Amino acid sequence: MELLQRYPEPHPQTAGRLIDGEAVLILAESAEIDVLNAVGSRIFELADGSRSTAEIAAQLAAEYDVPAAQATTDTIQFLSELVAQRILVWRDTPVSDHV
Amino acid sequence: MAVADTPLYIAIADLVTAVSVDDAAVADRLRRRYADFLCAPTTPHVAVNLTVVPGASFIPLRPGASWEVRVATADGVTQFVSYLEQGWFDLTAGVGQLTLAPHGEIENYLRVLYARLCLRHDALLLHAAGVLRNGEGYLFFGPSGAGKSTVARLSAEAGALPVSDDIVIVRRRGEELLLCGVPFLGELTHAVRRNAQAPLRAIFSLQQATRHAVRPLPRPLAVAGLAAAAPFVHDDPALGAALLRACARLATQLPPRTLYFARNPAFWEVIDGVVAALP
Repeated sequence: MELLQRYPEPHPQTAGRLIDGEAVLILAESAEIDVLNAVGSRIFELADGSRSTAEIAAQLAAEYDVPAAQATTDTIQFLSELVAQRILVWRDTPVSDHV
Repeated sequence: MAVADTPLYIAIADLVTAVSVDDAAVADRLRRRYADFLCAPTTPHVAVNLTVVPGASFIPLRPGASWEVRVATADGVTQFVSYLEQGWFDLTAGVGQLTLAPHGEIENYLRVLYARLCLRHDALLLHAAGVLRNGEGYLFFGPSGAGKSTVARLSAEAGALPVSDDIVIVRRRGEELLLCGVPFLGELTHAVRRNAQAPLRAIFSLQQATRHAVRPLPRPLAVAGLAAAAPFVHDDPALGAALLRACARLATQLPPRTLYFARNPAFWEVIDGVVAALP
């Protein structure tokens, strides 16, 4: 399934909290602690399993006033990095679709 | 085997563990070791049965290897194993079991237990130096090598009273935060440890420098630094969430700062100036 139609959400082994707009993360599997920058934190905040990558990219394009194509490319790249770091996981359907 | 007649009640930051020991000699050793932290019999937060087994060995000792403690939690039960100690605890049920060799130690088991017990009781066990000055508590945190032991030693030279140079508990009493000493020694067998409590006045991340200064520390970095200083609780996402919540509350109630310090006690003059300007 194309990434734009997938739904990122926090990895079950990751604890995260927004502090003054920045996401502080504890990765249980590696016992690492990370702090994301402002844009990364906003993406992490939006990646709650209810929004598709396309929806997140559209929201970021509006919030940061960047071209949609650039926002899409950057969003896919950043989400993929967070998934590779096991901070996020991909869902095929939004959270609200699950009973 | 002689059996100790009554449990030892160990109170650390007012959180009580009752330890029943089936070996009188080990019970006497623990009673001496934790003498400053023993309290009168009461309803404990956790009751631990300690069984002494001659010849017990749970992880093979390897020369030159770093000290190993394995911890895993499943279904609310935390399993613990080290070289001469093995056990578990269930904080929801308030019970635990520890088996150890006659010369084994309960300390690492208690560290893990208290790290997790604290999060259930609005408290934080932190790798940090704690110092009392003018009846108030000061917390200094940072990674290994940041200068916690140095700050504790220099604080004593400045007339302050270190309660610990590397591990303390911060707990909440109403709206007040308290800095609490702990008995844990770890590898620093001659380290300063005091059973003392005081209202927490300020928290500082440590940064060695050539001159003294205090600067604001952004809260996200402070929360990350405090969370990194909390041992034995990073392996469980639920505990991680509780840890971040507790660190965020701490860094909200007491504005975090970075202390840049050189190796002399005059950094207290800078701290005193900062504190004097606080409401």
